[in-house]
Amino acid sequence: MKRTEEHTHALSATVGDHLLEVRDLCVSFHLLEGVIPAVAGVNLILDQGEVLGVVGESACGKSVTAKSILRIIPSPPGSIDSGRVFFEGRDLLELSEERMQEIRGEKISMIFQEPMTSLNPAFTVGDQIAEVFRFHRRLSKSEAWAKAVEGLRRVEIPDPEKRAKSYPHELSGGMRQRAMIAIALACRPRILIADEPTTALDVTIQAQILKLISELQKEIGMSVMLITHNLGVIASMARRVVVMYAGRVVEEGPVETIFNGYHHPYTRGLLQSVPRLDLPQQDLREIQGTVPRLNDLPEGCTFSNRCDFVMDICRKQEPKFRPVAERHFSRCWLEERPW
Amino acid sequence: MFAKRFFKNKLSILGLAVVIILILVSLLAGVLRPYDPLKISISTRTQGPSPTHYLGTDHFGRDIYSRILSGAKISLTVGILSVALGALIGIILGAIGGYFGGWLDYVIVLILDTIISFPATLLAIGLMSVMGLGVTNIIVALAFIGIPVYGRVVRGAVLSIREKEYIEAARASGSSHLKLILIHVLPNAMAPLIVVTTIGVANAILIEAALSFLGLGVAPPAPSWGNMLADGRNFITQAPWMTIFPGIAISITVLGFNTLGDGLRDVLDPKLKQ
Repeated sequence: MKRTEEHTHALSATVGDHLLEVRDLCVSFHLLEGVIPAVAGVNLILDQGEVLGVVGESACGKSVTAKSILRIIPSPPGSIDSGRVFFEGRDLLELSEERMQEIRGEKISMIFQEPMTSLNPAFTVGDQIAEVFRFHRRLSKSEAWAKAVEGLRRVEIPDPEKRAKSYPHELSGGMRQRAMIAIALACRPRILIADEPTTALDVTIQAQILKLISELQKEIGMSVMLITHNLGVIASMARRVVVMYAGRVVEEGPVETIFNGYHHPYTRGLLQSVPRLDLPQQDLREIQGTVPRLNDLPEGCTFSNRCDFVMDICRKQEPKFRPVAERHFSRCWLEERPW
Repeated sequence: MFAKRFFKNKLSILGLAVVIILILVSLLAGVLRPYDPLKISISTRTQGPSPTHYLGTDHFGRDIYSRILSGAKISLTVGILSVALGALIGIILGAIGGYFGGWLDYVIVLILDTIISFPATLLAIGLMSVMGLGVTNIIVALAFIGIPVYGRVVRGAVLSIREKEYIEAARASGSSHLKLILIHVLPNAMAPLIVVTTIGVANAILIEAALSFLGLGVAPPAPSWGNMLADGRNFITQAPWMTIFPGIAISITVLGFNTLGDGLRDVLDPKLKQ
């Protein structure tokens, strides 16, 4: 499969400077309708204690990137074709499955979009949290249970002793997401990957969960990779933002820069499609069309068929991911911003 | 909650009662039976039901009531052990195939489909004529026939469960494949399996009776409901009780396991709930 061009990332000088560094990750799915390049040359870095926001429409490769870091892509049909994922000086993609199991849940944890289905219906919540302690910390049954109750208390579940004995169906969505967070944070991981953690929850619960993640992040000092299509969540949580489109990173920069000085027309489209309270009222605009099928991308820039500012070169050659300002990168041919 | 829903259904209570009584009877057959089931007595042959021989005697003068009680033990042993063995192998194959997919799954499905493509009774007859008579051989043969039934059920359930987010979540917190299968996948695949196994026991008992009837099962003189039927066939006009009572025993047993299975299905399958 075609690899996107190498590009030097100004922020990534040498391996080991960053807690997590993803380099030129290519992931594809081998399906009946052909090979789908879900992630095509993604570069990401995550620093100690940082909250990185990853935004983009559905099916733009956000979740696949996250799952590839943990190597939990269903395979077949998925396969990680190339790239490197450096974490604590090691390339995770080269570790054995056993080493990887020690990292999952212990060093890097993940929480998922659907709290309603992310817990095993056959066991109590306490058992499921205790299991993590038993596996990673080799604690005895009673010690692990005590830790599980403590974990539930930490995520502010009322009456944790009683709740630990509840089955998932006896808990509300917000409670379940809290329980998921308790599982993910059981071993105080270095990195929490939160894949749309609040999408399935209602707005008030969303705010509570985000606040909780934010507090625990500061308490443990972990880094968070927050995947979402909700720009409001990004604005309130993230320090740095990565915008993804069609399996590529199209723009990256500090959160203020992305919201106020965006460079890529796709980022502009995303921002114009949500109401902003910090700017004078404007009409909301949608981005024309939908994400193209990944095995049938337009030639040149992958966004060229939906872009309002498309030029001839966009249809011929894919732009490089290049710096447009300090700590601000964009994958677009535009020199001057036409807006 | 599970028990409450189960006991709401009168039929499933009946099924459970029949199964429990059968198990007790087969365990206590030695105490309950009034006569030695193998004892031949010319003076009492082909007698109809009477206070001395509740269900009559056969052409060798053996007490049919005692023989049915002893036969219960054989029938239940064969039914339960063959299902246990078949289900064990089926679960292992089905779980591996469904969970890992790919060529492994392809090979496993091929094996299961090859076995299931033969009519069960025919395959049992073939296996028994190769292996010879005996209770152990019947169990092995019936287990073999059962493998694809359980294997396919488990595989189907595993296929849907492995896509669930909690499997992914458990994997993201460091569970190994073996642990995922044993702790997270299989317990959630139990509901359909419990139902097929209860019905499988009934089925195994029927096939065992059929094999014994054909002279390929339990070797005489050991009593089995199937070979009692076969014995009675020649005397069906003169001594119908020789056929009727083992037949009733088979019917009650099969009905008992089937209603139990149906009851369990109603409880375990929320879609069928009214």
